[in-house]
Amino acid sequence: MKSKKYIFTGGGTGGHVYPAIAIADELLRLDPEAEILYVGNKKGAESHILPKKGYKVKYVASVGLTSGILSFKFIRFLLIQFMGFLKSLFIILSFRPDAVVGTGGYVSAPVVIANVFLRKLHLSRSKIIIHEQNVVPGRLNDLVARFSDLTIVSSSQTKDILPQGIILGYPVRKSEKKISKEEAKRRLNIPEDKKVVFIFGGSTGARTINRAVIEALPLLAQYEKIFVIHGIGRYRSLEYDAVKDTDTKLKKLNFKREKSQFYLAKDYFYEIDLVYSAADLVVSRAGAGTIEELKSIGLPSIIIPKANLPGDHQVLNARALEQSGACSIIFEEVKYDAGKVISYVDGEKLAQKVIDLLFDENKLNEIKINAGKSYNRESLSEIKKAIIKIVKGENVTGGIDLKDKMNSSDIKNYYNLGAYGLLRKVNQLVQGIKDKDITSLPEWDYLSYRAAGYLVSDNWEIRNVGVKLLGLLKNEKKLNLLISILMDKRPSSSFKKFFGGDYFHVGFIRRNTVYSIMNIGVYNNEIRDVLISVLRTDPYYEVRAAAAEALTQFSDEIKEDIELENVLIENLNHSSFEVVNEAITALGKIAFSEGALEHLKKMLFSTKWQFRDSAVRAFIDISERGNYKDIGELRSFLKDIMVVCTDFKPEFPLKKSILDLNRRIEKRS
Amino acid sequence: MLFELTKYLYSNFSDFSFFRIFNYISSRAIFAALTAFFILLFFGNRMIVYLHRKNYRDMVRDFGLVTSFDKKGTPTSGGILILIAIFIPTLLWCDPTNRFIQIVTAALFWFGGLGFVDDYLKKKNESSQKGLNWIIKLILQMTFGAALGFILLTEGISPISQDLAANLYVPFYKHAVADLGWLYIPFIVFVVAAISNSVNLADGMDGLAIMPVNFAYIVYGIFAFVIGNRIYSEYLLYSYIPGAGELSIFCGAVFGAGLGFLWYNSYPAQIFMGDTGSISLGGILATLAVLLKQEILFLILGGFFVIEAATSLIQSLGIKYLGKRIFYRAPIHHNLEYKGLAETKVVVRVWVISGILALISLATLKLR
Repeated sequence: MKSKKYIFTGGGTGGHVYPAIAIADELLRLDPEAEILYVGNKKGAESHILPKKGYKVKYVASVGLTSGILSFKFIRFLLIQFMGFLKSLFIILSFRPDAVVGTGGYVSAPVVIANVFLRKLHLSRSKIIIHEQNVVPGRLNDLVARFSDLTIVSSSQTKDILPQGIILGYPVRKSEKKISKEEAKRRLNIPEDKKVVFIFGGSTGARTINRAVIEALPLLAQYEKIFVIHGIGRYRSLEYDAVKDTDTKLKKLNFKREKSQFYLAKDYFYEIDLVYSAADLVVSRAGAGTIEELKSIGLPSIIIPKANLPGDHQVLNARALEQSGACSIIFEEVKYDAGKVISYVDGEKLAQKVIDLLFDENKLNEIKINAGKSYNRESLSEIKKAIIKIVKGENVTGGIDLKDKMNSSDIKNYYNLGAYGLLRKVNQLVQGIKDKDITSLPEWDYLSYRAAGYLVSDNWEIRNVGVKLLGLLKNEKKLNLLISILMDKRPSSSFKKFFGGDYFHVGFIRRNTVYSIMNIGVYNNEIRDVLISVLRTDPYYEVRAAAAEALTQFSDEIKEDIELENVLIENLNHSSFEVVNEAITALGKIAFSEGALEHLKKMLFSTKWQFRDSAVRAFIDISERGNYKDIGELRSFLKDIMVVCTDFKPEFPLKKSILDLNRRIEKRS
Repeated sequence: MLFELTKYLYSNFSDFSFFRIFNYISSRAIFAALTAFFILLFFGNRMIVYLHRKNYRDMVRDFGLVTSFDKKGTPTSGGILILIAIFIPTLLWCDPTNRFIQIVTAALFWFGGLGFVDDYLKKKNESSQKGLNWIIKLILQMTFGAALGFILLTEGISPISQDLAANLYVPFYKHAVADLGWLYIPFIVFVVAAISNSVNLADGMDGLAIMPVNFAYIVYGIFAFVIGNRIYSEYLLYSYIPGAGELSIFCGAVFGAGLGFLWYNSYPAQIFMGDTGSISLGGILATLAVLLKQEILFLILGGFFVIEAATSLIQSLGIKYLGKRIFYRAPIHHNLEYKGLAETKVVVRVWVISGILALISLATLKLR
């Protein structure tokens, strides 16, 4: 049999590179003469992983699509992809592979498309094989999968999106030799009697996790037996340099013991197998690759999924693992910090969970066994077999049962939804549910986590969805977050200001925040203060009107409060009639002093009929509350109120009769 | 057809010499208006019942949600009847060989068809949101604009002489301000799409759109009469466009049909015109504005429609980019209603304003 030639392509992050290496290794094991060429991108993770593994690498230009279709970035995207396409043509023509294996990431697109093109011209006979690692395929992989001879997917859920996909699972590379726990600890200079927890946020690191580690460290250090290994990651940008940030924050901490006795940090562990071998517990992101590796080793883990990725695939990965009893999940949360809403991981919560698990031998063992059980050992060899079949020109059918079907349909319903879809869904869910039952909705935690995650978005419409969701879910715990949005006076861009923009959190967000506070229905001093501040300072009328409306709603809980009264009276002169109307209504509910009643009396003689109308209604409320002593005086006023009104409500008698009949019919049946 | 018939009769038989009155555009315009009005009056009720039976109405699916205050369930697509009532008198009283009449009739069918498809899809999908995709709608409107521009700028098929065709006139000024050349086509495309859609927007209350439309058609009818008349146009210093006078007969037909429609559409409405009516009345109005070279005059004459479109546009830009409402509600008629004016009051006030705007527009005939 002649040795085959393969081109592997895929990259950007390790998550796309490692599966490619695993498959390539396996093919080489079967046929050491096989020729393998890796086509990657110079800027991707492949450029520093692959040379170490001894593969031939060629680079083509490629970038991801980060923008919509109508922008300069899109033109740049097209141009660069086209350059990559041209170079790929050349590479394929000179290497003449039997198969092109794409493992996703933007670099695989030009290579695969070049091969499709050459096949149309009968210049290439190479087969196309796509491996999708994520539950929800990336946009480019979704595109190139249409041309492939074989599409391998790693999860049963993916089959709904790529129906031609064959479920074969995720290929995890076989580690060369097993390292024993003792040896691993010795090589890492960790005392043998320690319990080791390895915390890392993936190859690029994660700010939230790094900061949580620093918060958790003092708590963990109290336990002599715990040793922390921390993979910081190599993330570097203008606002955040992972290593530097972590270092400066660490220096501020004081420990009684020498730090090296319980803590080891590195930006990147090349020998990750060694670290895994030493660890008793892992804290990590929920990337498909990481999870499969943890399963293959049988390591217990605490998973912190990254929020609001496409299809929320990290949460999906994590939930699937949790359901097989192989991990515990901590969601990222959102808080208000230094004038900004940011996401974070609660360090204390993390520390507590680590401590609980590490010292619960039984639980740890159980998780360990479950993790090992859920790993599918055949994946790699099945994938290899499938590739060889395709190259021979045979068909691949079937696939293997990964036993990863989600058993709760509730969860599955939410993941594929975008922000608006989720809002619609939750809107339907809370219809007709009693208030106190909303917090016990299935997956309420997850929904709140999604909602809070939206508050970090740069797009106001998405933040708006987050605000609305928090109100619908009646999440009392996030009230502080809502209050901080109303207090956040960051201005909008000067360009928008010129056209009438005001704050970074635009008018609709602030208005909906007030509505969400009303929805949650809790009144306390903080909320009183924020409502006062809105009624005093907010430049947008709808927000003020909503705040006055909120006071009306909370009126039962408001005791005689002169400041609230005053602030409402100030708003009686507002230029927007909506605000004045709501202020009058609110005064009707909470006014108690003589002065306020005088102001309301004046509104009975306003030139606008809506104000007169609201004022009359306000006096109805006041007299019901029994606050107005001199009812007789009111009577003399009544005949002086101008009754001219430019509005009326029509009523169609026929429709009324039909509705009447309809009501009766419905009562009968 | 009657025009041809009477012409034959009075020119060949002296007994029929009284038919000579049909030679006059003014009398034919009045007959066209009366014909259209009576067609609507006669068929109106039948049409309402017919459209109701065929389910062309705001659907009521759940009686629990309906109140006795709202207008759900009213038959819509009454525009079909308006279009029929315009087409028949046009056929009877206009000269069918006149190129202007051919063009506006084409506009009637194009925009009428477009509006009807929209209404039909809304009915089929049982949702007022799921009509024709707005992009397709816009493209089809613009296609007509482009075709119109092409016809006007092509010697031989254009009804307007080529030294006039691409000229741009503004109100209160005698001479053409510019010869746009080929740029005239994109300009027309914009005018057609803008006017057609603005009338569509304005159709939101009982009788709200139809009266301003009527005023606009009267004024354009008078302009057509002047521009198509050698003596008057010379006296008022307009460039004489032969044949344009026939358009005033067409305008008469629209006016008659509009009044007839108002008979049923006045508050509380028994029938709505639907997109079939509003898109086509707007589209034809745009065509007239272009043919009479009075596109800019529409800013005054159709001031109400312009404000409707402008408030809508500004509001949606404000919502999208600033995250706030610039007006309480948009378009303007909703704003007025929201601020506490009853629907009837809003409608009558809009009529008053359009009447005043029509007068100002007429004044531009002489004040130049």
